[in-house]
Amino acid sequence: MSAVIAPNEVRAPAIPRPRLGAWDWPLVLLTAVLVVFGLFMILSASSSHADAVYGDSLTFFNRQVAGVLLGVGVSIGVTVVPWRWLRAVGYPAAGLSFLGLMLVFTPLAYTANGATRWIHVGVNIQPSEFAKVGLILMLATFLQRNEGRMRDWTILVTAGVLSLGLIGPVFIEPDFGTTVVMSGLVGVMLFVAGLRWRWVMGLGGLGVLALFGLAILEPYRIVRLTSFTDPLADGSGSGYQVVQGWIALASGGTFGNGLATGLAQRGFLPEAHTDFILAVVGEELGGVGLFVFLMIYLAMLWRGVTIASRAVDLYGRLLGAALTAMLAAQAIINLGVVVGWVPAKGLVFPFLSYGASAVVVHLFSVGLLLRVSMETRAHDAQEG
Amino acid sequence: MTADRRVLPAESREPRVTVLARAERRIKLMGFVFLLAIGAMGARGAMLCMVPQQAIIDRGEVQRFDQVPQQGKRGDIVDRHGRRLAVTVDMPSVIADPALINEEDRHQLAVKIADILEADPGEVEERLARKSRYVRIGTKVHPDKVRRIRALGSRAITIEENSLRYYPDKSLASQVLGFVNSAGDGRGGLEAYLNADMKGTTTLLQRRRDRHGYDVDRPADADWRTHAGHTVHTTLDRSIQRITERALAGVMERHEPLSATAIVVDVETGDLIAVANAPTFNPNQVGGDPEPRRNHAVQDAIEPGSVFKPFTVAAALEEGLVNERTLIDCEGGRWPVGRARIRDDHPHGVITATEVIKYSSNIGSGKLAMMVGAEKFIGYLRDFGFAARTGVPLPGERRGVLRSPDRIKPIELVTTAFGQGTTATPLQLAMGIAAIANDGVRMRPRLVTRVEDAHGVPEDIFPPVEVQRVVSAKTAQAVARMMITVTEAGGTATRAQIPGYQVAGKTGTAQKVKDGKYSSDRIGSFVGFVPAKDPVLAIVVVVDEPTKGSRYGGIVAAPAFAEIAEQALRELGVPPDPALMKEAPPPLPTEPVAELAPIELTWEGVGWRMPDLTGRPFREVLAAVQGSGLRLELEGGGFVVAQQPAPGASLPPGQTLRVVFQ
Repeated sequence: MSAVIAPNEVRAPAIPRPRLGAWDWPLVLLTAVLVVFGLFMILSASSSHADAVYGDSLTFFNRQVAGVLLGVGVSIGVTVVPWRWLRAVGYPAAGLSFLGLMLVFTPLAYTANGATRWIHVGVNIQPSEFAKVGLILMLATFLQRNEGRMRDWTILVTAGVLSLGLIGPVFIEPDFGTTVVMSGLVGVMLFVAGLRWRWVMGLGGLGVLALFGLAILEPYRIVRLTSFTDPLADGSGSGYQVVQGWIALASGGTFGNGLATGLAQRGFLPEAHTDFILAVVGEELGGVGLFVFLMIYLAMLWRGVTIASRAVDLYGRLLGAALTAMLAAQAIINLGVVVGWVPAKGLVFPFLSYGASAVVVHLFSVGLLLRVSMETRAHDAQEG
Repeated sequence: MTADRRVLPAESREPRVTVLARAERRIKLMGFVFLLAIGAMGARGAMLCMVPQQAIIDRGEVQRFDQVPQQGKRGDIVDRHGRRLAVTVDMPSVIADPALINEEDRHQLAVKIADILEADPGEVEERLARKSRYVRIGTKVHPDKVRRIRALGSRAITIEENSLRYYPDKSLASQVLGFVNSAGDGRGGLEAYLNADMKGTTTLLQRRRDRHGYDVDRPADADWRTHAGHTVHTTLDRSIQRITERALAGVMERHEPLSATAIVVDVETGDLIAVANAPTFNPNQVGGDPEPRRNHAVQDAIEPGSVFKPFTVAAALEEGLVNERTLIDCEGGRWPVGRARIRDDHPHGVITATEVIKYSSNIGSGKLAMMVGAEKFIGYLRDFGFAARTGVPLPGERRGVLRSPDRIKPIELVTTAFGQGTTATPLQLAMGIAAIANDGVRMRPRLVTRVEDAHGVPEDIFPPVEVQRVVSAKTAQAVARMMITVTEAGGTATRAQIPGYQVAGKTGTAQKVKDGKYSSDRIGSFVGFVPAKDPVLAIVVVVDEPTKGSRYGGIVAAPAFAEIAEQALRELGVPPDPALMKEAPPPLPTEPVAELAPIELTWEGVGWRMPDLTGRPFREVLAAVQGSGLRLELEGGGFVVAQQPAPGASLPPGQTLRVVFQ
C-alpha cells in the first residue's frame, strides 16, 4: 500500500523497447574484426598440431567456427532479451553456473594437463568460462539492489559469500588463472558500485597477499615464478614455453614472416593455438602486426568502457564494467605471460585463442554490452 | 504493508546521482588502467619482436634451422670416345612418415605407391601403418618413378637422395681410375688426383625444420648441375684397355709373375691409350689388400735392363759417333772394365751397331756409352725423360734414379748403358720409346684431355704437349730401323712379330735387386712401336718376376706386346701392309690361323658341358671359361692339345678343368 517511492528504489525504467538492430556499430565492427582475425590465426597456429593429432588440419579451426557461430547467435539473442528478464536471471544464472561447476567433480569430467576443468558431453565444455558470466550477472543484480549501500559491511560480506560459491569450485579444479580473473571481477564490481577507497586498498592488499600465499602453497607455482623472472635460466625446462614464445616473436621481427609461415606451432611452442597464440601473431605479422592487433583490441575495450560509463543505471554500469573488465583481464594476463611479466597461466586471449566455450562466452559478453548500449540509447531518445 | 525488504530507508543510501557519477569515474579509471597495462605490455611485445636478445635469436637459429650439407654429384670419368668408365649413380630412397598419414587415406596411398614402385600393395600398406616416423618404402628408385612419387604430393612421403660411385667395367683400368671411399673422396688414381675437380661443391642448404627435425618447406628442385663435379675426359680407349688387360691376364696365367704392367701410348700426341696392371681389383668392391691397387706403371721404379739400349744407341748416333753399320768389337762376350767384367749372354766378336741392338750386347752398348761420354750420355737420358716425373696426373709417381755425370764411375756408365744401376718407371720407358717413334720428339704423357663442368662447358683443356726434341728425326728413324731387326729372324724377340705390320722393339731381362744385391729373379720386359715405319702406338710390357715358363723378356713380354699391338691396331683401323702379309713367315703361333667359332659352354642341369677345346688358343679358353665358376689349371702355352675332362663331359662350377697347351 505504501506509495512511498524511494528516490533510489530499484525498478525497471519505464522506457520503450529499444529498436532491434540499434546496436553500437563500432563495437560490432571491432569485435567482428577480432573474431575473423582470430579464426585466421587459429587456422595457422593449430593446423600442424591438428594434423599430427587428429589427422585433419582443420579440426581446431572447425570447432572454433562452430563456437563463433553459436556465440554470434547467443549474442544476437541476448540483445533482444528484455532488460527486466536479464535482471531476473541474475541468481538463476549463478545457480546454473554453480551446477555446471559441480559437474566437473562428476564422472563427466575431462582432465587435461593435470587440471580438471572440462566436462565432456559430446563436446568439451569449460564451465568456469560460463561461471564468469554467471558471477557477473549475479553480482550486478545483487549490487544494484543494494545501490548506495556500499558503506554497509554486511553487503560486502554477502557479496563475498555469494562470489565464493562460484570462485571456490574453480579454485579447487584447479584453475588458478580463472580464480584470479573472477576475484578481480568481484573487486571491479565492488569498486564500481562504490566501495570506499580504504576498503579498496585493504582488499587489494589482501589479494596480493593471497596471490603470494597460493604461490608458496603450491610448489609448481614457485617454479613458474622463478622461471618467470628469468626464463632463459632454464630454457628447456620450466622456462621452455616462454623462451619458445620469445623465439617466435624474435623471428617475426618488424613485419613478420607472413601468415601461416610460423615455425613455433610446429612442435616448438606448446599451446601455440591457445595460450601462446600472441607469439604466433608476432612471428607471422611481426612486432607491428602484434601491436596493431592489440590496439584494435584496446579500441574494442574502450568501446566497452564508454558503454559501461554511459549506462542508464547502476545495473548497466556494473554489467558493462564487469564484462569489459573480464575481456581486459583475460587479455592482460595472457599478454603478460607471453611477454614474461606474468607467471604462466592457462588463460586464453579473447577471440584470438582457440577455445569454443571461451568464444561463446566472450561473444555473449559483447552481446550483453550491446544490450547495455541499446538501453542507454533508448533512454536518451526518450529523454529527448 | 511493511516496506519491501529490499527497499531500505532512503537516508541509509547514497543518492543515485552520487552513485552513478562515481561509477562513471571509476569505470573510466579502470579503463585507463587497462589502457596502460595493455599499452605497456604491447610495447614490450613489439620490442621482443623487433629488438630481441641475442641469446633468444641464437637459440632460435639453432632449433629452427638445419644446415644440411648437400654434396654435388661427382663427375664422371670417360674414355676418349666418351664411354663412361666411372659414373655416379643416383639411388634415391622413398621414405614415409606414417604419423602424417590418415588411416582412411592409407590404403589408397599404399596402392598408388605400390603401383608406381611395382611393389606389393599389402606390404607397402603395412609399412605405412608402422608406429614410426621414418619408414623406407623403396630404395634405388628410378628417377621417373621418383617424379611420379613426388607428383602424388603427399606430405608424408619424402625422397632421400643417395648416390653411389659405380664402375661399369668393374676392374677395367682400376689402378688408373682409383676408387672413392665412403666419405666420397677419391683414393688412388684419377679419383684421388683430380678429386677436387670431380667431387663437386658442398653447399650448406639452410633448411627450416620442425621440432622433430622434419622439413617444413618442400625444397625447390635446384639444378643439380650447379654443384656437380666436373667430368674428366681421359685419353684411355676402353676397348684397347680391355685388350691390354686381357693380354696381361694371359701373361699372369702363363708365367705366374708377381705382377705385370703394360702401357699403350699414342706416339704422336703422347696420349695414354691404355695403362694396365695385373693383378687387378674391382673398385666397386674394394678389399683390404692394397697390392692389386698398385699402379706399377708409375709407382714402380725398376731397373730397366736392355730395353735401355735404344736410348744409348740413339745418343751415340745423334752425336755422330757411329752409324747403323759402324763396327763395334764385342770382345767375345767378356770385357773388363776397371775391376769388374762385363759379360754378354750370347758372345759376339766384331758386330755392327745394329747388331748390338739386335742381339742385345751389353759390351757393345757399354762401349757406345763410353764413346758418348758421361756428361752427354746422362744428358741424353735426362732428355728422354728419365729421372724426372712425367707429370702424369696420377698419384705416387716415382722419379727413378740416374747417376750424376760428375760422380759416375766408368763401370757405372757402362752398366747404365744397358739399364743397370739406374731405375725408371714403365711410363718413363714408354714415353722415351714413344719419343724415338715420334721422330725424336718427346711428348708429355697425356691422360686427361679436358675437364668439363656438368653443363658440358670445358673448365680445362689439355692439348698434347711437346716436351722437347731429344734427337733428330734421322737418328730416331735409324734407331727404329735397328729396333726392327730385334723382331726379325735371329733377333731376341721374334715373338713380337705380328702379321701385316713391321714391329720395332727391344727386349729386356733385368736382374732384380733384392736387399742391395742382384738376385736370380728377373724382370722381363719389351718396349716397341708399330707400325715401325710410320709409328702409331708405342707399347711397353713389363713382367715382374715371372716364375713359370721363361724369365726372358723376349718370351714373357714380347707375345703380350704382339697381342696388344695387333688387336689395338685393328681397333684403331690401321691398315696392314699387304706386302708384309705375303712375305711374313708364319710367326710363332700366338694367334689362331683359322677362324673358329667361339667356344661356348652350355649348361646342362648340374654342370657345364665340356666343349672340344683342341687347337684353341690360350686366350679363347680363358674367355670361354670366364664367369663359369670353373677353375682352370693350365699347362704350357700356345694351343690346346689336351683337356680333362674330355669333351662332352659335364663339369659343375668349382671343379677344375685341366688344359694342356703346346
